Order: sequence, then structure tokens, then C-alpha cells
Amino acid sequence: MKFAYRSRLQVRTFSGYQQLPDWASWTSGLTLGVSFGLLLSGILAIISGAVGLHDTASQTPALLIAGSISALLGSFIFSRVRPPSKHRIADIFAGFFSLSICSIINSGVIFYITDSVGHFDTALYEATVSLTTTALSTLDATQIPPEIQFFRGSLQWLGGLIVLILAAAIIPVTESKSEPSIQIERNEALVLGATRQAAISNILRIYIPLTFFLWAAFAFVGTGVFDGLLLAMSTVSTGGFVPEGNPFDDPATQWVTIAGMCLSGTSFVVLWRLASRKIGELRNSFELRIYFLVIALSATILFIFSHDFSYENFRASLFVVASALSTTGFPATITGEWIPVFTVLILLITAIGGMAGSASGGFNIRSLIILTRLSVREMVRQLHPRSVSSIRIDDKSLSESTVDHTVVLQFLFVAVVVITCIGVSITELDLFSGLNAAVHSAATAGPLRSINGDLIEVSEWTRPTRSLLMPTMILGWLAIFPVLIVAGEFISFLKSKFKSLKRSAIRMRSNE
Amino acid sequence: MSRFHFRKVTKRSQTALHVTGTALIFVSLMMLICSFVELSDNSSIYPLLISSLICGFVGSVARLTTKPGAMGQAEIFSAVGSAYLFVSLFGTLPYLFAGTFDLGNSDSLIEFTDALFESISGYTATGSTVFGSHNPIESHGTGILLYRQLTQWLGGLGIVVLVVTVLPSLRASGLGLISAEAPGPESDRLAARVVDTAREFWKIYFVLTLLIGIGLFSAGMGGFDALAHALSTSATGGFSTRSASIGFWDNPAIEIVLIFGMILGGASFALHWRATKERRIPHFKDPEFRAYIGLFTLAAVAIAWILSSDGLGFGQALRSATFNVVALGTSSGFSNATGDGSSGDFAAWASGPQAILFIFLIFGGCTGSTSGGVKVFRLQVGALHALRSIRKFRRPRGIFPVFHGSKVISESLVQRIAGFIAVYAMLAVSGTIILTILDTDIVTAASGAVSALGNMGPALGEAGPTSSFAEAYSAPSRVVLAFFMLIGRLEIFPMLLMVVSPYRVTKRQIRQIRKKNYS
Repeated sequence: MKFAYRSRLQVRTFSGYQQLPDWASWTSGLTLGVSFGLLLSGILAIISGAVGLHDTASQTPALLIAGSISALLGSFIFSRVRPPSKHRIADIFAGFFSLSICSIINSGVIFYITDSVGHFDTALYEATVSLTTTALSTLDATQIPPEIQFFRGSLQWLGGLIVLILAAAIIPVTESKSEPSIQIERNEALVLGATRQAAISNILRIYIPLTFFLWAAFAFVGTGVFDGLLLAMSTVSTGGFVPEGNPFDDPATQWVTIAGMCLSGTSFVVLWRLASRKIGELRNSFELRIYFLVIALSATILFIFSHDFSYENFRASLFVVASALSTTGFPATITGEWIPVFTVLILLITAIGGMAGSASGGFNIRSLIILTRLSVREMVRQLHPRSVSSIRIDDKSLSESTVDHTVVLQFLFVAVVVITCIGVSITELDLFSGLNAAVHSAATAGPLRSINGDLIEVSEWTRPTRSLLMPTMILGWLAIFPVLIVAGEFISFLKSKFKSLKRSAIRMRSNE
Repeated sequence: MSRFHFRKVTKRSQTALHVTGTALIFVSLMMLICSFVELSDNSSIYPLLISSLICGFVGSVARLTTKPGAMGQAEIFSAVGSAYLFVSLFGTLPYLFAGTFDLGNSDSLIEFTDALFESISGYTATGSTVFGSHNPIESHGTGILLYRQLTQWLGGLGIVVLVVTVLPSLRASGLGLISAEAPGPESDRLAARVVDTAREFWKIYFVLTLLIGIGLFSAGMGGFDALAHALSTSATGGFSTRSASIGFWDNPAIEIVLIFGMILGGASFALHWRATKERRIPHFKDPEFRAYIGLFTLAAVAIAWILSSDGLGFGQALRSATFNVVALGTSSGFSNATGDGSSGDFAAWASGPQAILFIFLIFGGCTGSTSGGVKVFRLQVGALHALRSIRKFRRPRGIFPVFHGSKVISESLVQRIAGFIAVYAMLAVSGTIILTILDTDIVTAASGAVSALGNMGPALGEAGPTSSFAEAYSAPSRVVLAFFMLIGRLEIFPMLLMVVSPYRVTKRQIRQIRKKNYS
């Protein structure tokens, strides 16, 4: 059984070369994604099982067995796939989509068989919030064993890495200039590497050391080795899961987390420049300046208007803002008075998210800059309808396709939020909570806050409500486009199948 | 060089003043008619008469002392913007002279704020009102009530469109004025001459109002109420002569007539014109109209289903759902609630139907109609553009034009629509933040900002169909909302450019002076 063909467009048959339909490479991407999904989640389950080896009453056997089976299955499927020599971007998206879905299902099964949750749909929900780095978990960290804590923490870490590769290496580093790019411009992303492979390896060269660096920092400030590792994985992936106990009561841990969240919300192009000591180039980065300006401004608003001018409140304000903007979602609250405007502000900065090309979710700062400049350009065009002007960031003109895709992304983001909001409002939530849940799911952020600033317990929501949020989280995590492109491919695949069936039926009828 | 700029500014002011002056003369005539109506219930005619004289005098002076020239885009925007601004300001006079908002214990600033809010809500055909249980509409004279309805009627199709009908000297600039005022990205040209186009629009508008009036009268409404509601229905305004709005009659026949009236008011007037010229109904061949009707049907059925599953009878649920969906979707804003918590009071519905209604606060009606909101056409193009982008990812070298029906939408129009949606979203978010800062709860703030920007009328939360905006929002919030109504009525750019233009001109002049000093 072969899942795909050797060449993308042509295959050699007895009658010579034959043209292949588009879906041939598409299914190959899809199958590769499935194999990687099974393999990676299986490996994570095995490592998590190993973490619990010291504990006799642990879920280690279940994790080891389930992990081994899925890893073996993944390897088997991988060995049977012959990837085409060249994939289209749609095929790569198909691969990422199937990788995420497969990882979620497999992790859901693992959560379910390890008795972490009572229902399979809740297990799938937990897997989704872990992989999509959303942190709207129903689980209480004090109630679950360390190996399961590690498993969901590592899933977040993997989720952060996947979205980072997608955002900083796959989408922008297109094979040709004719391929449209979203998030980072092609030229910008080329800083990370001239090819996708190079970019991915450079991302790994930052992502892994950054995790270790944060782990060391957390361990240094006294968080503990295991909790420090969990926090580091959660911070670097902008995940937001908190280990047992509340490590943020300690000021030093809070400062390390703030620094970690700020770094994780920064573009990996910036981090690469920082790592390669090209600091001079960073000075001109308008997006970076706006990113830190938003953090500073929002934190100042929280600090001043909460009427508590203590050092603790200043730190907490900075923590809340960094957590929301980087879409990490560590739960903390300010020590001063919480007013309703803060909830709107936090909701807004969560929807905006961090910089383009980072692991954070949301709409991203770059898109906000582009939209603001587009608005100004439209105003000028009202006065001078024939004027030709391009949108510039850092003295570089952006291509019209980038501007176009940013607008479309905004449109789709709002559409996803609105549809989710209607859905969860019908099932259970009030209008504001529905909007809040929809924005947080689409931005892959947490935790939810009520108008009064209290943290909302997601476990109190009904199962249908949580199930409705899962597709939104996946859409938001994969920056919407890839999922829709896969859906488009699937529809055209069905169409071509239907057409060929129709054709063969006509042929049969004419033969009769 | 600086003299050149001075001249340019003067020319712009002259054109804007001329158009504003003519608009004020129309408003003055309207007030004069209403002042005579006051005689019917023995109320004082002086508030409206004095207001009419003031408007007439100021309008005549502005018209006679100025001369309109050929207009560029900047002149067009300032003319339309200033016309709405001054008409709204002078529109407060009848309310102030009649003491409509003088409740005895309120200060004059609040009174002026309320009068300004009501005037802007009228001329922008929004329909949000500061009347309520503390100040019932019924307690005021017939003339004032008719004036209030007429403000919506005048603002519905557009004061400037009316001005263009009597200003043939504007020539091609007239079309620019109509485009700047008309809802939608492009304005239809119904006749070769711009003046004729404006007249054709008004003819259709007049006939539509007449038909709705006859329909309402036949359905059981009194003569004055039928006329008053016909005026605000064709304008998709939503002002009523009763505090309980349409809920006062609790009559399904009246609601059916209004539903049809609102749908026709929210549909493109160019389609109505074609229907009269070609003697066939072209509406259902238009993709925008089909989507418009389809959305209403879908939303009404979905809401009725949810309401009936909550225990309400399906018939009653469908009646309430259809009326409210059409009222909000066409930006009319009438209410069929018979009281707080009744089946027509959508603020008391479950959050699901409210979320659906919130979407309709954004949608609005068709382009070239009297309705507000983003417009179905823009959202269709936005969605088609998004689909095109996805197809482009799959086939990067493909060329995919955006089709709307059988028509190809030009790239420049797609870009303009994309820009408009971006600005609209930003303004809605800014409005929500400002209103929340001014101590409004989040749902009321967000729905209020969106409602004002789309000229919808009622909002959600505390500003529901049975509430008064005077109770739901503080005085500063009402000023913000009024400004948003003006921005929304002129589809954002004219008002924004009116604010930005003086800054641009000043900046340019400062640059010139600096250059001169340097040289």
C-alpha cells in the first residue's frame, strides 16, 4: 500500500508519463502529518511515562504502552509514505493540519486511558488546550500526577514549536515570490534561513536553548527542578499551564516569568538577530518598539488606575499585561482595585497578541500596524483617489499581497470569533462571557476574567460549550489560513472524485 | 504660496457654506410646516416658528453670500460634513425652545446634550432616543413629534441629496456629494443629469413613504401615527410617536406592513427605480438583495427556534424574532415589545439570540438604501475576497477576480472595501473603550458603539428596546455616541476628514512658512 506518488505531477506508467491530479501530493502531505502526529505524541508519552517511573501508583505503564503503540504506528506509516520531490504550500498546510488533529486525538486517547478526565470529549478538549497552548484547562494541577503534568506541559511545548515553525519558517519562506506570504514578509523571514530546512533548524537552535535557559533561571530562583522545567516549557511556548502550588507568589519567579513571556511574545527573527548579535538592526524595528510600548502603556494604565502604588502592584500589572499580550495566560491578578475597563483592555491586548513570527497567538502587532497604516492610506485615497502609495514598515514597502492577507486575516479572525460567540451563547454563556471565551480561544490565550477581574473556572462550563471552543482554538493556533486551505483542498478533492464517478457512470451507460 | 492656500481654504468654506445654507433653508421650511401642525392640538407654535425663522435667516445669509465652485474631493467632504453638523446643531432649537428635555431638575448643559443627541439621532436616521418613562414622548405637542419624525425622513435619504435637486450649478460635483452621503461604496446614477438622479431618488422615496403610510392606516393605525411612522420607516430611522414604539399597538397587521416597509427601505433604491421603469421586479436577481433576505430569514428562524425551545409559542416567537431581526438588520430600530421582559423585548432574551442580533447591528441593509451599518455588499465582497485569498494560496499563479453575481469587482473597490472594514472595526473598538471608560458596562458599551456607528437605534444590555439612552448612558457617553452616529451616517471618511483636514492644511501652511523663512 502506497499513500502517495513519487513525483508531484507526473507518474510513469506502462503507457508513458501520466498527469496526476493535485490531490496526489495533498494526500502525501496529509499522511506525513498523520505519521508525525502519532510519532511525536507517542514519543512525548514515552518520555512522560519515564518521568513517573519513580512513583509506584503512577500512570507510567499506561503512558509507556500507549506512547509506544502510537510511536510504532507513526513510524510504520512514515515508512510507507513516499513524499513527492516538491510539495506545494497547500500540501504542507495539509500536513500541519493532519499533524495537529492526529496529535490531539492521540493525546486525547492517552488522557482518557490514564484516567486524567472522566469523558472522552473532555480528554480531547484537554489535548486541544495543551497542543494549541491555550491554557483554558479544566484540570487542577494538584489533582493530577507529575507524569500527566509533564505530558500536557510537553504537549504545549510541542504546540509552541509547531506554530513557530509554521509562522516563521513555513508560511513566509515561500519557494517562489509568487506564493503569497502572511505574517512575516518573505525578505524578513529569510534572516532565519534561506530555505525552510535552514529556518527550522535555526528556530530549534533558539527554542531549545531558550527553554533550558528559562529552566535554569527558574531553578536558580528556587522554583524547583521539575516545576521549573514545567514552567519553562509553558513560558517558552506561551502555553500557560501552571504546576502544582502557586509559583508566582515568589517575586523572583514572577520577574523571570515576565522576562520569559516578553521574549516568547517576540518574533523569532528578532531573537535570532539578538542571538547573532546584530543588535543594531533591532533598533529600527518598529514592530518591536510598538510591542514594548503596548506592554509599558497597558501596564502603566493598570498600575495607575488600580490606585495601588505599591511595588507588588507594579510587578503584578506588568505580569498580567505580559501574560495577556504574549497570550501565555498565567493566572495572576493585580493587588489594587480592578475596574471594568481593565477587562476590556486585557481582552483587547489578548486579541492583538504578540509579534508576528512568535509562538504567541492573536492577531499580532504587525497586522495591527498594517491595518492602521491601511486606514490612513484609505483616508488619503478619499482625497486623492488616484494616488499610489505603498504601506511601509521599517522603511521597507510591503507587497500588496501581504496587506491583502492581513485584511483577510482580520476578517476571518473576526468571523471566527463571532461564530464561536454565537455558538457558546446559544449553549450556555452570557454575551460577554461568550465573547471573552471566543476571543481567548481564537487567540489561544487564557485565563478568562469576569468583569470584576476574577478568574473564571472553565471546568464549570458544560461539555458542549467546551467542545465548541475546540475548533476555534485549532483555527486560531494555526493562524486560520492553513485550516481553510486544507478545507478547500478537501472540497476540490471531493469534487474531482465526484466528477470522475459521474464520467465513469456516463461511460458505462454509453457502453450499455 | 500661503495666499494660494488661504484662497483654497476660503473656496472650500464657501462651497461648504453654500450647501449648508441650502440645507438649512429646507430644515427651516420643515419647521415651518410643523409649527402649523402644532395648532391642531392648541400647543404653542412659537418654538418651531422661531427656530424656523432662525434657520431660514442663517441659511439664506449663507446661501446668498457664497458661491459654489467646482469641487474637489476635499471640498465635497467638508460640504457634506458641515451640512450635517450645522443642520444637527440648528435642529436642536425646537427642542430647546419648547423645553422638550427640560425636566425641571436637569441643568441646561444636560438639556442641550439631550437635544443634540435627539437631533443627531434624527438627522442621521439612527433612532436612538433619550425619551423614556421619565419623559414620555406622548406628553409633547404634535408639531414637535412630526418635526422629530421629519428629521429622520430628511436624513434618511440625505439632506445633501435634497440640496443637489435645487443646485444644478453643482454639475458633476453633485454626484460626488451624493456619493459622499449615500450609503455604500459607490453611488448609482439613475439619469444622465445629476440633478435628475437626485430627483428620481426623492420621487421613489416619496412614493415609498406614501405606500407605507397607506398600509399602516389600513392596518389600523391612526392618520397622524401612520404618517409619522411611514416617515421613519422609509428612512429606516425608528423614531415612534409612542414610548412603547410599535408595541403600543400590539397589532400583527401593523407589524407586517412595517416589516415590508423596513425591508424596502433597507433595499437599494436603484432596484426600486428599475422596478418602476422596467415594470418587473429585478430585486431577486440582485445577489446583495438575495443575501439580505436570506440572512433575515435564517436569523429569524434560528431565533424563533431558540425562543420557542425556551418555552415561548413558535408563532409568537417567530413574530417577535422576525420583527426585531428586520428592525435591527435594516437599521430601523423599531420595537414591538409591549413592556419590560415581554416577548418582543430582545434585551430580555437568552444570550444566543442576542448574539445573533448583535451581528445584525453590524450588517445593516443594502448599498444605495437609507439603512446604515457596514452593508451586505461590503460583507459579501469581504467574504469573497477572503475566499479568493484561500484559492490563491492553493494556486499561487492563478488570477482570481472577485465576482459579485456576474459582475467583476474592480481591485480598487476591493481595496477600498477592505480599508473601510478595517477602519470600521477600529472605530467600533475605540468606541467601546471610550464608553467603558465613561462607566458603561461592556455589553452596553460595545453594542452602543456598534449601534451608533451603524445608525441602528437600540443596543443591547441596558440600552435595549424598552430603555432610554438617557438612562443607559451618561451625558458624556451620549455625546460620544452622537459623534459616532454622524461618523456612521456619512460612512466614516467625510467626518474624519473634516476633523483631519484643518490639521493637514495648518501643517502644510506651517511648512510653507518655515520654507519661506528658511529661504
